Amino acid sequence: MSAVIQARNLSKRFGSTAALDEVSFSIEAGRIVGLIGPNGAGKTTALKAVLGLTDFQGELAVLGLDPRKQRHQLMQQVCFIADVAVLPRWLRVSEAIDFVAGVHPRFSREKCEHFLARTKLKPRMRVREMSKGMIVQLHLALVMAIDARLLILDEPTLGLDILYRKEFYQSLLNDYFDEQKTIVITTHQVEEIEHILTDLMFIRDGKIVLDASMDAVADRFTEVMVNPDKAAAARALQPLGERQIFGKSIFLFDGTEKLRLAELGETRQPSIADLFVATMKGTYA
Amino acid sequence: MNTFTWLLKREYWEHRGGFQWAPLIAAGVVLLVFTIAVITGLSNLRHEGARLNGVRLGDFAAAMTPEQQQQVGEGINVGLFFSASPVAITLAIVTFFYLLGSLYDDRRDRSILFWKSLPVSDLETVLSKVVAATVIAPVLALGAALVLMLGMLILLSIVVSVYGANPFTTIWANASPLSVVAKIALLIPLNAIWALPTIGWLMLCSAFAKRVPFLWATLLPVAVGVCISIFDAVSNLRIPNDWFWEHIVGRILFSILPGSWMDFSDLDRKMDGASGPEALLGAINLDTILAPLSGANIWIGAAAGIAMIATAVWLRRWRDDS
Repeated sequence: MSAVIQARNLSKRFGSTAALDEVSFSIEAGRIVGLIGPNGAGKTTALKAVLGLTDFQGELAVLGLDPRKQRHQLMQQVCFIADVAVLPRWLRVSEAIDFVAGVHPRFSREKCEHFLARTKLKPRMRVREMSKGMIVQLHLALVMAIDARLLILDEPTLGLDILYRKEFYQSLLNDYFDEQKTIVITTHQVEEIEHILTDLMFIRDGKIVLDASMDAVADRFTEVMVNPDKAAAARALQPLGERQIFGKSIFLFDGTEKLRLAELGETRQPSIADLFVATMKGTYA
Repeated sequence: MNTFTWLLKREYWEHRGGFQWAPLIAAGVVLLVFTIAVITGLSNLRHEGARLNGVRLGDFAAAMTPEQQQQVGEGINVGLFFSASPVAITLAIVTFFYLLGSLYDDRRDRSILFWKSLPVSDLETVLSKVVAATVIAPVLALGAALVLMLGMLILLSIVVSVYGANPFTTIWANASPLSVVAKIALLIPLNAIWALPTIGWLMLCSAFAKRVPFLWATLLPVAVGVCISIFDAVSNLRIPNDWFWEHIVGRILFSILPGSWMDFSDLDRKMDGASGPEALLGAINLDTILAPLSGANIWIGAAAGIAMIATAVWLRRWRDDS
């Protein structure tokens, strides 16, 4: 199966700063990829390049198409939610459905109405009368009713309360995702998408610093809680990160043998958030 | 329905207020003013009796020859034609600001990201806005103009019947609002071609400006014009010529006004020796409509307008500031 997104030496500069610096990666079909990085790391630029919204240097094929030249064909197969509140404020729910049904060959009106039936949205409602959470419900209903092969979500739940956020990812998993589809998500609320991801990518200063499946991440990284007397021994193994809690040290190791670490203390699977913090150490310094 | 029809529908949904209601309100205001005038006039005349030089108007109207009746009709038609001008001016103002916002508003509120997530090319998007400005808005305004004309005729009928004349034989049998509307409708394509430089310039500013496209669109040509005039005045010691103002500033800002292609000196000549109201409407015939089309001015402007629209399409595709 060929890759859904294939990027080679992707570069994009804004003045003197490189938003993307010779980035290469590949995303297979049927994956849910989390693209995680600090502010200004190049996440949005990478997604915009994939969507043909910005020019760049290097090679990029999305579903075998060049997003710069074949954007029109590409957008029949690709959907994206940029972030909440980009729906035009004058639009009514019924108009949104009519319009998307009119211009998108892969949109299913029945599906969309089915999704909307679970919300409080009424056909006559305008976007300007909706809360942020309702706007995202509408946007998600529109997007999930499109039978696309690639869905790109750039901070889709920014500013939503936890009920809407949970519901958002739940519907995405239960009602939308299958092996034919691929989802790329960027978000700062890492904890909330941790359990739905199949792949993880960390981006920092325009470079990919981690690109692995969640299984590989689980194999590679280990966290050990170490008593003070063994801390020196742990440091000798060159941990990726160290933090203190209740007088004990928690070390994060990359690729160190788990059996050996077990001798130092209690081992466990690090959360993506902890992994992220350790990897991005010194980003803003 | 195909994609383009949906795009046009979207423009209508978004700008219903400007395209549909603004001309209707303008028509309503004109009718209101006219009604007030009629009421005041009638209540004054009531006391004196509706007589003209001692002759009752009803007898006057009944005694008209067919020729005279036709003249009355032509007179009413000319009145109808020009009564539509407030609607035309409203249309021009609405379209001006519609175009200025057409490629800017959705960048400002970032909803461009939603529109761009759909399989619609930027060429189609931009063209749908051109068509909205040149066809949808004028046709809706024409509808409002027709409402206005019919309202005027009804008011006129009331006046006439108060004076004791038969409104059906004096007014409705002679006036022809539908043919006046048809004449105006014929002008829509000409107005569109003539307006292309303004449409192109406003859309270009709309696609280009990071902020306040209005200032870009107005201040830039005015500033250049002032510089040229000053330079001209200082270096040649003469009154600056107005070529730039007429052919550049005027064309890129004001050609959106319906009928602004009309050459009034030419119209003067045509009406020389003509008498009666029919001459004016008669002067607006196929010849007058085709006359500007034979000049180079309109086509140079149209080419420039199309080039600017093409640039706007390119900017819409590649401008990346959302």
